[in-house]
Amino acid sequence: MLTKEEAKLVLETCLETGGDFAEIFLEDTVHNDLELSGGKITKSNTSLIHGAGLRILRDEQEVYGYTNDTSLQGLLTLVNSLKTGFNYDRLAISFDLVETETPNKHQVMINPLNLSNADKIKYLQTVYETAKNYHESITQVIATLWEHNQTVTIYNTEGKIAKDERHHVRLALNVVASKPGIMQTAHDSIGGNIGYELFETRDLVAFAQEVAQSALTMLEAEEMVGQMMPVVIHNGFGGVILHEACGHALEATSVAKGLSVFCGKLGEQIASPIVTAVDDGTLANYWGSANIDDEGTPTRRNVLIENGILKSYLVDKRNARKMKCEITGSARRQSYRYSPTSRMTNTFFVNGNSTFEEIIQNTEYGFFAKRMGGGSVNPATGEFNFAVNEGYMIENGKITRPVRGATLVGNGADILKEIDMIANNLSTGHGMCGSLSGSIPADVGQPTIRVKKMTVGGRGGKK
Amino acid sequence: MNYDYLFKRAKELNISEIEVYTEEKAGLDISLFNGVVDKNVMFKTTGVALRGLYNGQMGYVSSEYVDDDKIDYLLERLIDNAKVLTIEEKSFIYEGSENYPEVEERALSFTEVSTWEKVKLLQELEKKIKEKDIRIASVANCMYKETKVTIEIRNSKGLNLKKTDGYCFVYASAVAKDESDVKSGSDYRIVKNFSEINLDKLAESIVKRAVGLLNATPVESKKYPVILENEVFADILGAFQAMFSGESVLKKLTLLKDKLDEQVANTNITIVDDPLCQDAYVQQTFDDEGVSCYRKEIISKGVFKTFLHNLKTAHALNTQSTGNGFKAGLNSPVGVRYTNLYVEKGYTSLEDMIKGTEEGLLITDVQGLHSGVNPISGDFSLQASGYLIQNGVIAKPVTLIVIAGNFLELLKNVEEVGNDLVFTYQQIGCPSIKVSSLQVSGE
Repeated sequence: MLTKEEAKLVLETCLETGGDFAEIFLEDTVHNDLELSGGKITKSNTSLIHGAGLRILRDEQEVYGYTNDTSLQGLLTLVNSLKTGFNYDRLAISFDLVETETPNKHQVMINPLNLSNADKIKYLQTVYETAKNYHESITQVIATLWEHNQTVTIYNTEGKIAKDERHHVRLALNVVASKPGIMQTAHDSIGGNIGYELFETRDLVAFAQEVAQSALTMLEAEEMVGQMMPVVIHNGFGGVILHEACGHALEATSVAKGLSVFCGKLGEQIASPIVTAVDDGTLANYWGSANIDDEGTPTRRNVLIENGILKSYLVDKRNARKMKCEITGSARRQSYRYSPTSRMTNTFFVNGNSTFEEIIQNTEYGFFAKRMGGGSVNPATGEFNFAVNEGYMIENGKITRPVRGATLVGNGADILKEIDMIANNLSTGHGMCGSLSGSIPADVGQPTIRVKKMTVGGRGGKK
Repeated sequence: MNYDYLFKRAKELNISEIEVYTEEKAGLDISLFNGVVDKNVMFKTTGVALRGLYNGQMGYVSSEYVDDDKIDYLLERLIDNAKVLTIEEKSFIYEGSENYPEVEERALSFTEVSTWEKVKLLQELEKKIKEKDIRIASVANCMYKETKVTIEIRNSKGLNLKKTDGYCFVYASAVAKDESDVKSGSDYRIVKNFSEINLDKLAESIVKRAVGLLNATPVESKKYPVILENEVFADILGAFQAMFSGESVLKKLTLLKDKLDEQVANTNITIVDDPLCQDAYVQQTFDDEGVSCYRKEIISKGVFKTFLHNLKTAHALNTQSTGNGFKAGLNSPVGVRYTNLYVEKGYTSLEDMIKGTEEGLLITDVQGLHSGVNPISGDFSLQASGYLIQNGVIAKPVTLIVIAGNFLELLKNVEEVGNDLVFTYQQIGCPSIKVSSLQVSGE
């Protein structure tokens, strides 16, 4: 374990390169994976992740290095190799390292590290048995527990010592329903920055039944007929549309380089006036939450869009220098192997004034995307795609036939303006978001929304 | 790592056989923006993964602490993990194959080149991209990565193998703009020899991909004959490769189950897994269990010939390991993975395929591969872009369409196979192909 004096020495040595800022990110993580598949415990793995990332900044320039050798000698060796990338005269910078206390907003009652494998497996068995016994067409069920117990310590030349302990746990369920020649899958998960009390407070049986029913419904669904039409996107994981089509374009990583469609649009109307969007890393025990970001800054609630007007980007320390604006507590990274950059935490549209029922009743003909799958977006053009895992046709104001194989494609900036109804049923879903600084837990969320028109792809032919 | 102590301590704890997999990695990751170094990352890491047989189950644990004083703790975790497993299939620690193939050693010349020269290469690439077309507004990414990996496997049955490999990777993406539209395009090269990188050709390809799609529009929704460009076909094959895995058979998650020796693709399709392929950028002489690697045809002239296996899946299905027991990462168990997976090339050039198409689409990019494919059912539904072909010539660029179908049906409907085989960074090689019909959704 690095002492305060050793950390100071490493940082001082970093400054010899002529940097104006240096940072040590130390990580110790115990990662556990458990899998129950086909009635058997097929996976039980433990990995110890341990290492340090060193970062030196000078104005907007950065060098970064990482190693598993976290001894003083190991870190000094790394600083030496960083000097090959950075070589200026030392600046007059002096600092003292002082520990900062951040109140823990994400209390853990049942610490994953104190629970036996046997106790954890009980939760897997509950969802497995429920889904498997739900219907004879359910042919395969896989339940997994993903657990990431991460302790981070950040030291920097602003004199900061900041620590955080995070327990990301997630129970995920995959269900396959089949009949001759056709297999359909459904997926959902429950997760948070929390202990195993999460699974005590949730109705795991109802959760598993819903996932099983979704796979069954899709087994009997017709193929989606591709067309352009009004689309109602349901709450919870439906928020992936905001995350992909808008959130990524508001991250400083693309804004600072002028690569985002939302560059230079602060204060401008970028969305329909009924749209307000927030990124909030402080929400107690949420999947995307933490006490501090990975630069040691306390997380906070950032209003991104208010009544359709762009209010803020998500900004980390280095991009703040480029963009000449303040940091937003949004610097995140998967591990010590990544330099931190601006990322989303828990991102969602806030509640609107309609009800879910009103939205459906007011849609004469359209598509209802009940469960969204993943998607991706090109930040330069804003073009995105999302898979729909469970979809229905809306006809004469009613949800009618289930349809499968639908994909939503469009342009993020256009879609924001096309949202014409927002319900009051906000909820979130749990995803892993991949970007420059790796794969990190992120909540996506929204109330049910309606988009006036969107291209819905599918493989069904014309009727 | 003190192997003597580890093997002795494992025996004392009733771990009947134990194996240590050590991975050392070192590398560099540089990117450039507007001529200036934007990212400069250096790394050197070591990790060990232990696996051992305890009561017949294979327990796993991995660690980035490689201190000897962690050995006892790691063995305890390994036992904890093995205790809860209820896997029916038998697991194995392997004593080694009789022979291992030899591959020609290719020098990793990039380790001899200074960082400064690598930065200069990126600066040249960026400049060439910007100069090629006035509509190039910016070069969004311009990066160089290199990795050198050494793998060592040692076990209590006497296996002791070691290999070192590496490659460097150059990638750039450009943004093209005109009065009414913005589009982006990217491309990359992976090589062992630093001087093999042809910057001119790379820049040309990137610019063509970006500029070519300006003012693209969707097309009418209907069925079209479709040409999938080589890398697009490789991306789609990559999304479905799990159907060839012995693990998918055991999990009952493959449509190819019970299809051995059946015609599953058109006769012009042969799919090969060749660990020693010299056109690919990685060669494997042994897998992560120490089993010798060799070339095999998975689909031979349209007939499905074999699944890929590790020791466990082979034993469970009463066959031999195909030398495809690989880990997805240090902390993953040994699963099944292809080595260099490729579709054998045919005789038709992409130009001739286009000439022979009265009305159809040339697809040059697909998006949404992690969400728009169902590897279990074979269904796919992917955001795509490319060009509309009319009367044998490119008529206009096309974007924001969705191509949808089923992978096995697609393999049966391949009309022509191109002569332009290329390997992607995922170690998948494909030529361009022409498919008789795919459902396209646009307007």
